[in-house]
Amino acid sequence: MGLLTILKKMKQKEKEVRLLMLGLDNAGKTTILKKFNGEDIDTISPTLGFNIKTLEHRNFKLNIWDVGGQKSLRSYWRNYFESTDGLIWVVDSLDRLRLQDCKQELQSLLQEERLAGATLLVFANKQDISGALTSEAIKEAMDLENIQTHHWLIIGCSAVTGQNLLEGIDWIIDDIASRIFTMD
Amino acid sequence: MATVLENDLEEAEPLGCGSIHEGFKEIDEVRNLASSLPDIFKDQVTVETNYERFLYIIDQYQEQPHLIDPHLECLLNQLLGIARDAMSPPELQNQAFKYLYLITKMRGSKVVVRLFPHEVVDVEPLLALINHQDPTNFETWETRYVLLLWLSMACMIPFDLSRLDSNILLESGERKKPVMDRILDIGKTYLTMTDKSRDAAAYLMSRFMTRPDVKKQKLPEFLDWTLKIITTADMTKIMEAQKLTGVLYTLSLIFKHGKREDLLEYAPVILQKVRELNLKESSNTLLRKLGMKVVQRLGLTFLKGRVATWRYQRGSRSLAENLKKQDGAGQQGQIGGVVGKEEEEEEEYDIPDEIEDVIEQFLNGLRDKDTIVRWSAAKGVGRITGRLPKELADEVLGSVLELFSLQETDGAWHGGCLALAELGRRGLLLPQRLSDVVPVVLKALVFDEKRGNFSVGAHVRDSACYVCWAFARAYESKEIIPYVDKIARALVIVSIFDREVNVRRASSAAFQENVGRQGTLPHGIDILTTCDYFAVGNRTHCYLELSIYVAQFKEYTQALIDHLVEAKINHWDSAIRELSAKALHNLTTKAPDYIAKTVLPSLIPMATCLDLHMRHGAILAAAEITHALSILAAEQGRSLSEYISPEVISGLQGIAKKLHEAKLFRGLGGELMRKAVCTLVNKVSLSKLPYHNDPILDLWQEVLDDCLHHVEKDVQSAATSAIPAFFTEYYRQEDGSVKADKQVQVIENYLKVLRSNNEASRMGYCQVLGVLPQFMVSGKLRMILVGLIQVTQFDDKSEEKFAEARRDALNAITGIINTVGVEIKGDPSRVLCVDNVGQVYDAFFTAMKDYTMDSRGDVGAWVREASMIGLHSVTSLIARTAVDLITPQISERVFTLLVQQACEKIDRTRAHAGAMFAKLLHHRPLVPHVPNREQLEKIFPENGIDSINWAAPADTFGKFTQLLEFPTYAYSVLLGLTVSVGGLTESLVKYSCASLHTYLRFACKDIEQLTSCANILTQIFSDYLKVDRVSIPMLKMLDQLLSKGCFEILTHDESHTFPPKVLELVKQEINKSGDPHKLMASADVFCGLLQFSGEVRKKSLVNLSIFLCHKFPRVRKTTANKLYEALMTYDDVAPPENLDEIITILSETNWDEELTTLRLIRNNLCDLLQIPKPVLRIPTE
Repeated sequence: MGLLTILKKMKQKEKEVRLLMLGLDNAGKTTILKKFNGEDIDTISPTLGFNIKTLEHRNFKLNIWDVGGQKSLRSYWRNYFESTDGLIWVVDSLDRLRLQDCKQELQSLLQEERLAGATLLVFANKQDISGALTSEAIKEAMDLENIQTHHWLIIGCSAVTGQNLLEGIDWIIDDIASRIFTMD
Repeated sequence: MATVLENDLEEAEPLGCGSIHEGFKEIDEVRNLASSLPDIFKDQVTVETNYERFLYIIDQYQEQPHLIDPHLECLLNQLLGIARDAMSPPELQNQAFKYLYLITKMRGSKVVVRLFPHEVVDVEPLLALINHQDPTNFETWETRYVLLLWLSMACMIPFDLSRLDSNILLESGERKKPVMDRILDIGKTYLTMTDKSRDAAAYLMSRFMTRPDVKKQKLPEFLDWTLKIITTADMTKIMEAQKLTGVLYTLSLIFKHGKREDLLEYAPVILQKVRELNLKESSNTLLRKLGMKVVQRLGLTFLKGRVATWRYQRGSRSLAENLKKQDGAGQQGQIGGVVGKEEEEEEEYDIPDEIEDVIEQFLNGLRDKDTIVRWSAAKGVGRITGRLPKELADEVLGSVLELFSLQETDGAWHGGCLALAELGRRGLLLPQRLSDVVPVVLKALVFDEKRGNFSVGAHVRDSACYVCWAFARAYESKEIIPYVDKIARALVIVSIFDREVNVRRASSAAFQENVGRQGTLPHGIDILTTCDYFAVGNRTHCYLELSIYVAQFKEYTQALIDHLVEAKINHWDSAIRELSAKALHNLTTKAPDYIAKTVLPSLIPMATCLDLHMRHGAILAAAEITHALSILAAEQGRSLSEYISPEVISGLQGIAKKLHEAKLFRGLGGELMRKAVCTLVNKVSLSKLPYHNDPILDLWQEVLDDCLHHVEKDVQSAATSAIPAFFTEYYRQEDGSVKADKQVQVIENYLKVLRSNNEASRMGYCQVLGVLPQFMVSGKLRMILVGLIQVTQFDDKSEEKFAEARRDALNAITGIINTVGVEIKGDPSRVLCVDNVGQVYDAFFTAMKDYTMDSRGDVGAWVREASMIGLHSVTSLIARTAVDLITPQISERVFTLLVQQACEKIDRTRAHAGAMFAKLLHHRPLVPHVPNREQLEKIFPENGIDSINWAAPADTFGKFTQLLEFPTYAYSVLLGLTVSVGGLTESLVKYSCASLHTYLRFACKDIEQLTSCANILTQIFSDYLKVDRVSIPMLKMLDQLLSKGCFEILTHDESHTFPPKVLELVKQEINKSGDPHKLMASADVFCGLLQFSGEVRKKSLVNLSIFLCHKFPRVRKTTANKLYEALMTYDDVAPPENLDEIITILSETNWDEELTTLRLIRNNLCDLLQIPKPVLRIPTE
């Protein structure tokens, strides 16, 4: 395996991005994934397990892992942390009650060694429904400003209308691509 | 620039594959193969052919596996549908799994595994399927491999596995074993297998054991199990070593996938046990590599992970992206997060003692004799060091640098470079250490260790390029700047002067990365756009063109020259030495003073040193440089002595003498020295160095002459290219005339050797006579021609065949005549003239009949080809300068001979003849007296002549058979055709035969024309009677023509002379012949002759009846068959009332029987055919 082989492999890897999509149950993770993939979003039931979708976007190959958010499943999230380039955290902007829950789950994820160095994108979902908290309010409530360990972005979006989904994904890809690639 | 870089990388991608694909174009076929499985799985033959086809298609994409991605999901679903269907019979399932395996092999298991179904409902059926497998069936390992991979995905479901267990009792009354236990059992079973399924099992176990629930309940127990295997395994036994392989692989994967904190408590004991295995001493490479991997993962478990703080500051992943402007506008959300501070405070924590042991194992691994182990160790060094505090990291680097000593093997250098690169690209080489690292890397970039006739080190140089590439990514420009010139020079030198293409390309890639990310390399962009991936692919181009381009930049000029002198003119590969010398010639103009004052004088002592390679390279380099300087001096109107000092002049003069005295022209390396001195003499002659009348000339003459005797063609041609320049410079007087004494001496000596019994000598001296300059030939032409013509003459009596010497002699005649030219009434000792033109043409004409055969086949063809070249060249010369010398006889012979060759059977020779024929036919000024010129120009019109492929039978035979109409050409055409029609090559026989057939059937308007053709045929036959080269094809051709009915109109004319003549000739041809091929061919002709009634038929039958009792059974059988066919074809051959009986006898007799029995049967046949019985001639009775 000479330098040319290494470069060839790297060239292929550079174009592959692994994204892990997590969040509490009913946040809309699977809907976002399906919307993004152009699939039907009318009949979506709670994810009992996980989905993996490979999408081509802007010449990048996105491997998106979407894992169910029920409480019983959360302890298994860590099975999917390996070699994650970016974490997409989806928040239900209507779910005021569990916002603290949501904050805690995210905080503990950010402590995780294997997610150190990953980029964080927070989707404040369900902005199309009236009464939704703004992304600003969620940022405050979740104390995002204090995150020093990861590059992050919060963006309001709607999985149903597709609003801002692309913008969010574009940002996370840009951020991942703008750091130099290391093989670990 | 961005586009250039992008293209480079894009196109560089499919490196090493034969073809480049744009997409997975066989997808429909592949899907059809998959969907047809249920229909064909019972048919073994189709199953195998389909499998082979599937394999073939899939293998095409091994180098570009991503192309299948758009279709991967549907293809997998299709195959999985068959594979998991409970209704599918096992054979069908296995076949589907085989296909799945092939896809996995091509695309990689990690990608494919993502697409396997992983829902809760999948687990139970999957486990059932696996339980049905026989782990030892060697025909279905693909099934088990794919199933285990699948399970590794399915077992990632985020539920407690105990929720899958049912409480229903089995028939036996027991409770079904829990899923967790069952998967564990499967894992343990397959981990100890010897086939590929072991790898999948290892992957499965790593996924499975790191689940939170399994980890809690089963991990300690499982690790115990692995430790037991590790401690008890006897590596010298194959089966146990296999088991160990599986276990080590699993451990490395568990520690890779698992959560560090969970596994930390187990790491020390495992590390200890693995160390106790002492894998370093094992001869099993795979085990050593896996040991490295395990140690690496354990080491990482001891240390907390860290994220490189500078990862956002070195540009983006892709270099091309990096160069585009980043536009940060249009962000709607809110961004935050810390961009790591430059000086991050070191977190204080204890480094466990085990780390020291881990690193020691890596350092040993870097020295390993196998690349894969070194690689693994290097990655380990990089990863572990990334988690160490600065001081410790620096210690690691210190230890790695110790590998670069002359006592270490090339392997250690390679390992060291890999480790440096891995450290470098992680930014772990501290800038202050660059002063230690850079010199080592520069040495490694040109590492080349001679091992006799070859050398090792390409891998070291390649990995050194990797280090340079890594520098570009990990450092800020300001840190690299002190070293940038050195690195740039070294990389450019490797890019254009390395022997190996992959190293040149690697270096070019590293240079590109440095230019792209650092931007401080002198003339970086100019050089990288010129010396790109493709340009450095061709070595000659690199040495002779790119070197000049780079040398125009003064930062590089001297470095390039010095590198060639220090490292390349003494290279072990002579091709490199020769290229280096030529490159130095070209580079001379870029730094003439440096070359003249420093380089050239330093080469003189090297030219007579002890090292053969250096001696050879230095002589060549000195010769080339001297020549280049002389050209330069002439251009500048300066005297050569301004560049070349008297010391150098006498040094060059002394080289041959010293070599001669040291007896270096003999023995090992003698050939190289001879070639080198030939080049030296050639170049100093061209440079007009003042050695006139010096005694050294005699020695040079002796060396050159000696080389001409040499059996190696290279040596001979080195001498033949040196001699003209040598004579021209040193054997000519001021007024341009020859020094008579030298001329007499040289020519007489050369002519004497032409009569040598050694073919190589004859060849060498013929060649040199052909290239003599005019002043050397002048006055001696008569002698020389006589001598050469003698060589061209074929001597039947001699045992030696000397075809190549004859070829070279003919070429020499051609060469000389072109040198001296033509004057009609000139002096035959000076020029070609009326007195010697006949002699020359005769030599060429005679050579056209050279059909010498030896073990290599028709070697006479070389002679004929040389003769054709000569005929064309000389005729063309005369037509241009003294056209009257061409007589009608000469013209006719030239054209008929070329036409004959153009109809014969060797494609190459025919092509040659056709081309020469066409050139002479359309020669300007015209070649006079060409017979039937008008008609020839119609058949071969000038404007279509270039499109004819003279080697293709389909193109040419149709045209040349049209010449049969003209009496002058008919004989030649038929003679040529005979050999072709009766030949062996299918296309040749097909087209030649068809052309002749068409001509005879349709072009011959009347019996008269056919008769004349027939007469020529019989004429040829009688001319070449018993000459097998022509006569056997002649028999075959006659058979073809007769059986195709070409002579059918003659059957009505019993008085025609053709049939009896043929009969008579065939009888003479087979008289006393024991060649079964000839006999069988003649039987065919006899059968063909049966169509002519009367005497001919009767006699043919008699001859056939003799064959029926021939002593060779083969001949008897063939004859019976042929006769049977003939009787069915031609009417009236046998009395109608007997026909049935005759046919029965012919077909039912066993012709292998005793001759005495057969004779009775045969005699009976004769009676039935109403012909006399042959009488056995036995003189003694």
